[in-house]
Order: sequence, then structure tokens, then C-alpha cells
Amino acid sequence: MEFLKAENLTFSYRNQYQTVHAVRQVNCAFERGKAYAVVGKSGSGKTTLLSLFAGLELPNSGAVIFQNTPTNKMDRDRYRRDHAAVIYQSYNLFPLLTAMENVLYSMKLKGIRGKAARERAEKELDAVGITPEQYRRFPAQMSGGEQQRVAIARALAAGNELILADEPTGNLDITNGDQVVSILLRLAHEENRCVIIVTHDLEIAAETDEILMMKDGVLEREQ
Amino acid sequence: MDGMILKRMLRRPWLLLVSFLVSGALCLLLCLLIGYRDRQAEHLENVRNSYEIRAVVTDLRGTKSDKLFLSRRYTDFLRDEENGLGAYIKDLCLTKSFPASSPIGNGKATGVTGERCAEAMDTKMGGAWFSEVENFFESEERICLVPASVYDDYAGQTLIFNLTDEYALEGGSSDYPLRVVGWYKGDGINIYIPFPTSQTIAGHLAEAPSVDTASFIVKDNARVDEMLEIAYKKFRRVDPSSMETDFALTVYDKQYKATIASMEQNLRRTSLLLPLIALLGLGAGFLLGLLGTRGEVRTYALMRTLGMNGFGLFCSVMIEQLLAPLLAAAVVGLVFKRPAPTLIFFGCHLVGCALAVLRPVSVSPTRLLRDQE
Repeated sequence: MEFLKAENLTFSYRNQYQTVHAVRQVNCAFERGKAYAVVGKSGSGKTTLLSLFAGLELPNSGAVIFQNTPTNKMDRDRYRRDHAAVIYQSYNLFPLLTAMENVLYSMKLKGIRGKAARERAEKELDAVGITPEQYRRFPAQMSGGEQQRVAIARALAAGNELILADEPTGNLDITNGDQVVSILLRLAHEENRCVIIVTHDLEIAAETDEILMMKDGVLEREQ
Repeated sequence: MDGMILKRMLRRPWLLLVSFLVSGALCLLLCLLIGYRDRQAEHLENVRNSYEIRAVVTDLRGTKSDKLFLSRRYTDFLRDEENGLGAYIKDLCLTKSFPASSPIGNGKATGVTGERCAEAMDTKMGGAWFSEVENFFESEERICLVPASVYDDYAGQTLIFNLTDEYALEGGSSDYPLRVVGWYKGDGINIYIPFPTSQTIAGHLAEAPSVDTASFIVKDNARVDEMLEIAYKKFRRVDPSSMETDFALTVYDKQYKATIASMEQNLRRTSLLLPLIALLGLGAGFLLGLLGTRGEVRTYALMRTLGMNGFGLFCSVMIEQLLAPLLAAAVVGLVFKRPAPTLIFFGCHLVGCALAVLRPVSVSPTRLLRDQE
């Protein structure tokens, strides 16, 4: 069954100088339990496609359909809170909150609080290899790899089935990058989530179940 | 209250402290200023109510206020509640004196309408008096008050007084028995009799009763000009160059008016400062809001990305920004027991803060991805 689907998805936006046709007539479908890679050069429209999937933008035409409902007919804040989690290249943790609090925050938005929230946060932090002594560290006190793992734990703790990762290894060394990729793949294969990784690293893409190639806003090839 | 908000606040202690101190100082200033204004207004009201504007009937040139030989026409006007000044004045003081010879000595018998007509009896001026007859000043009996020094000698006795009306055309003079019913503070040879009695005697001695002096206190200071308008229908304004024989009314209200004008000006100045302080509260809210949200746009975008809606984010940021000012305002409000200025300050601060916060919290959540791209 199609978990997420793009139908004739088109999106353009205006920057300082021109109108950028970032996504043109994209059609694709995604399933749970699989990891996908969207690859392409810088400016090919990968990140824009991801923001459309995350409900951060609405398409000019066409639709993103999540579990048979177009995202433009949904409460998109709720969609992001309950279903779609985004992982960024630059981690984007709350600088004033500790690792534990960062994870708790996403759960708090879903109304999960107290002891249950704490236990779940600990479980997810453990799952991505964050040790209990690192729970109380602030982002500035952690390495890039640790921060990215905390960001993944935050996405996992909220229990979202759709994980959208935008260049998740872009700022990491090879060891940390591999760790992050293996965690994301595990999420797809063992936890039955749908993971879409935007990357320009073909080695990472090769590890996923399916690769989508973007060029000038067009999804050129599906493998 | 969201624990995360509290944690975020406590991890920016300088901002919290600055916010608390600035808000507290401005709220304090507003409280003090409003307190000062209220005291000024109260003082002004006190002056309005307690200041005694005295008015005296004089001759037209304003040089003489006794031995006026003021006819009943004028005294009736002063007392008339409907068409005269009765409704506007209090403590009307009319006197009528007769040269008097008696066993006490050769002095004066003065008819008075109240204790304030004679300094020796005026309790406000340190005088004192006693009468065994109730409503002495309104009595029509032939009674009198003698100096306290001789009261014991004559108490209860009826003495014969030979009274003369200086204005009687044919030197009116006659003996009158007056019963000693009380005393006034001091010694001497003068006696005081009730004003109605003096008018009866004057009626006997001369063709018509008359009054030597007339003065009063303005009842409602706020209506002094209204009173004057009516007064000048009967009395004239003082004219030092006039040779006519008429009566003028001198109202001693210059000092009162100058005092009131000065106080009102101060009050106006203070009142003008209030919106300025309120504006400062608004400005402080705006600046502290800018300071508090500076560099936080990515955080707000991230909150939106995680699914917080725009209104929720706005409320969350406002709570974070306003908690310290609220605490400061509450402390000041409690210490000074002045909820109104505290609320005014907090309202202004809130508006200023909301203006500053609106822009950063309306950040598009896609900004995080765009920045990255």
C-alpha cells in the first residue's frame, strides 16, 4: 500500500532575482518499511521536494498524498507533529535545552509527558547510542555525530512513521555518517517506518532500497 | 506553565535579570508617579474644600468695612436663598454696635450673628464663650454676654444698658434691660447681644434697623465666579476713585485662585508624564522583546517544524518574554498596593512585546531547509 505519494507535484518560488521552478510534475510513491534516497546535484530541487513531503510547503499544483489524504487538506502542523519528522544536515537542536530535553520537547508537543515520556526518551537515546551521561549535555557540548543522533532520537521519540532526512550526514565524518545511516536504515527495516533521505552521496544512496534522481526539478529516473 | 519555557528562561539569566529590573523600575516609576498625581489631586480637592474665601462688604472705594449703615435691603439679599447670595455663602457675619453705658462701664453693645463675628468668641481664633441660653445668636430675647472677668459678678442679673444708635437722625438713645446669660473670653467693658435683638433695638432707636459690618465665607469655592455674578447685581465692584455712596463687595479670592491655578498646572504636568511612562513601558516591552527573540528565529522555525502551530508558538514566546515583567509588576504592585498602575504598565509592556515578537514567530518553518540549501 502506498504510504506517501506525489502526484504531478509542481512547486516554484520566487527568490531575489527570478522564479525558481524547483519541482516539476513529480510523480512517485513510497511505502513503509523501506528507505529511499533522493539524489541529485545542489539546486536540483531535492530539499524542496522534502519540504513538500514534510508539509512545510504546499504545491502549486498536484498533491502530496499521505495515507490517501492530500496534505493540503490536512492540518499540516498536526501532520508534522504526528506523522512526519524532519532531520536536518545541521542537526537543529534547541541550543538552550539538553539532549534529553530536546527529545522530550517533541513528545510534549504530542501531549506525552511525565515518567512515560522520560522512559521513552531514554529508550530512543539509547537506541541511537547516546549514553546516560550525555543526556544532560547541551548541543554545544556534543560532537556533530552526537547531535545528529539526538536529532534522530527526537524524531523517533515522537513516534512519527515518516522520517525525512535532509543531508543527514553532510556535516559528519565517515564513522559518524555510517552510524547515522545505519540507524536510519534500521528504522525503515526493523521499525517499519518510511525513511526518505535526501543526499548527494551516492554511497549512502546505494545502501537504501530505492534511489530517486532529481535533475532541475524533474524526477528523472527511478531505480 | 510549560517547564521547557521556564528552563529556557533560566538558562538566559542576564536577559531575565535585565527584563525584571527594567520592568520593575518602570512599573515603580509609574506607581510613584500615579501616587504623586493622586496625592496632588487629593491636596487640590482639600484646598478647594477647606480654603476659606472671605468676602467683605465695604464702601464703594473699598476703604471702610465698618459703620456701613447697611440697610435691610442688602442684608436680605445676602440671606436670600433664591434670588440673593444665601445659597452661595456660609458663616454670614453681620454686626450692629451701639455705644453703651452700664454698670460694667462705658463700652459697646454689639449684636452678632455668630461667634465668628467677634475675635474674643471665635473658637477658631482662640476665643471662647458660653451662654446658658440655647441658640444665643438667633434669640430675640434681651440677653447679653459679658466679659468672663465680670461674669461671676453679674451672672443671671438683668442690667440696664443705655444704648445709642449713632445713625439715628435725632440722637436716638434709650435704656434697655439686658439679662446676663453668659460670658466671652477676656476682660473689658463691651458686651455682645443676639443679632435679632440688636435689630429690634436699632428699629426702636432709628427709623430702620441697619448693619455696621457684613462679611461671609464662600460656601462652594468652585462656584465663586457664579456667586460673584449674582453678587454684582446688588453690590458694585470696588472703585477707589469713585465719590458715590454705595456698597462694594470685596472677595479675597486672589490667593485661592493663584494657589489652585498653580496646583492644577502641576497636576496637569504630572498627568502628562503618565502616558509618557506608559509609552516607555511599551517601548521597553518592544526592546526587551527584540532582545529576547534576537537569534531565536531558528529555534522558532524548528518549533514550527516539529508541529507547533503559529498561535501556540506566539503564546509560548510571549509567556517566555513576559514572565519576568509580570513578576516585577506583581512585586511592585504588591509592595505599593496599587493594582491599576501595575496593570497599565503590564498592558503597555505586553503590547510592545507582542509587536516585537510577531515578526520572529511568524517565521516560515521552511527557513531551516532554505538556510541549509
